[in-house]
Amino acid sequence: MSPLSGAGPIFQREIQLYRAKLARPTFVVAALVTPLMYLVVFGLGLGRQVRIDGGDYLTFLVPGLMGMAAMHNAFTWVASGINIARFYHRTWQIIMLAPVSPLAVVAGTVAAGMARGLFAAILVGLVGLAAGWRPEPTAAIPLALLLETSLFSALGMVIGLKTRSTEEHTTYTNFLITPMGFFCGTFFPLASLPSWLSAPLHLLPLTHANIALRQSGLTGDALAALGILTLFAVLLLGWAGQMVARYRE
Amino acid sequence: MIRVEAAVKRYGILPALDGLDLSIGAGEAFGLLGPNGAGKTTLVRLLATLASPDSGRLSVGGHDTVTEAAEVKRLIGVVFQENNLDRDLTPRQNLSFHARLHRIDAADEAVAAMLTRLGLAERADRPVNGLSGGMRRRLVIGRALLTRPRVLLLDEPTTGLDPAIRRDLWALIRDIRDQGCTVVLTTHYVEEAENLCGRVGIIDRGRLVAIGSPTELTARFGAARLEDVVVALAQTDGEAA
Repeated sequence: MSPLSGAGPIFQREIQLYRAKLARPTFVVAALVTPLMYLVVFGLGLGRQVRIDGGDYLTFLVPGLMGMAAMHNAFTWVASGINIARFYHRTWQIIMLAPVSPLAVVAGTVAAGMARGLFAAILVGLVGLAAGWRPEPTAAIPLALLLETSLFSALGMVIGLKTRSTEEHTTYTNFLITPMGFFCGTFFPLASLPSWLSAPLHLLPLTHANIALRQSGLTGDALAALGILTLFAVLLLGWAGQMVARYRE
Repeated sequence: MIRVEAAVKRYGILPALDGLDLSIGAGEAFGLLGPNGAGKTTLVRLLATLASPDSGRLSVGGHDTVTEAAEVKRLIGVVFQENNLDRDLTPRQNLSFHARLHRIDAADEAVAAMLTRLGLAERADRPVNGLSGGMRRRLVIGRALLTRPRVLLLDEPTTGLDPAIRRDLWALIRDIRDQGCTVVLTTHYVEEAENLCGRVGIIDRGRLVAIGSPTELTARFGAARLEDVVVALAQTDGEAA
């Protein structure tokens, strides 16, 4: 029996649940309203008055918003999905009662989180293109999004399994994910911050996702950022696997 | 088939199980009776490998529930108190997920046959949200049966259901029992245990205070009904199990 046996059904179920949610138009609007609001307010409104590194603000902003949407959707879908499955629908028990490996549980759940994060990032990117964003075609963007969604999905698993209530889950979103969205270079370059503030922000994964998403090719900076994202992803996937292996009610 | 030896499980300082010993034979239908907080659900969680004992040992089919959890999971089917279904998915999708997760051969055919057996074939492709409480309960029990378990753990399977649906589910459980599956049933309904189980155990404050057939127990305690025995022996109330 393959250690990944069981990952496929878990992924398929998550996608079925996602499709059921997507069938409700209000759900799609609610999921995209925040990044689109930022795009309109900062990109098309305030952004017309701002230039960064000689380029227009939209070129700076759209990759950041894609990174933020990928992070939010990958993390939130996985973390809240597990939270609700554990404490409300009690369906997490069904997975825990199956003779499948922790690796399979992590692989199926993270792959579904990645699909959701990528879907949201692509939608934001399409709106950006419609608004006039013209990115350089480079492998750095898809690689960064793949690594970013995998690490935030894995983080979502860790938080989803760690929390003991829905309120506790909200705390992690408010104190970890939302600040990352604002401070890790989504709306302004970290170089404009004092070093005592920008240095610790380099310890956070979204900073490196944003660096990679703004490169015009697989430059040294892009490769370094992708390497750091890989390290984050490996550590968080391992942590998620350990949480699944030790899961007890 | 099931052995529980000096099992202790505490939540905080409260013992949910306090040195419980129990042995259940293959093919037996065993009922666990007791008030809220007595430890019934805790015992089911330990047997299902979802929780570990603080001390003592539990085994199913000779496999330790802690060190050989994967082997135990292959032997058991579990029905918890809640209808733990994906409500946005259909009955067919819920069963298919379970069948594929457990790598059941010819999963689509097995799911279709189970939907027919449960009387849910006509509702198979509509979301679970639209099913009645009784239909959802049948679906949860049917899901546990998909893997053809050798041991079926039923934690208060009919609580909150109306008498007609309860009798309908009793017939389903009787059918499972008669096919040789070991059934462990926790319940508040004494008549349910009398109807379905050859032996019952009365559990109170995490300890087994009496065990035997319903007839033996009523005779031993000089009671007119099994319910009188349960009321006399079980004093716990209101503590979470």
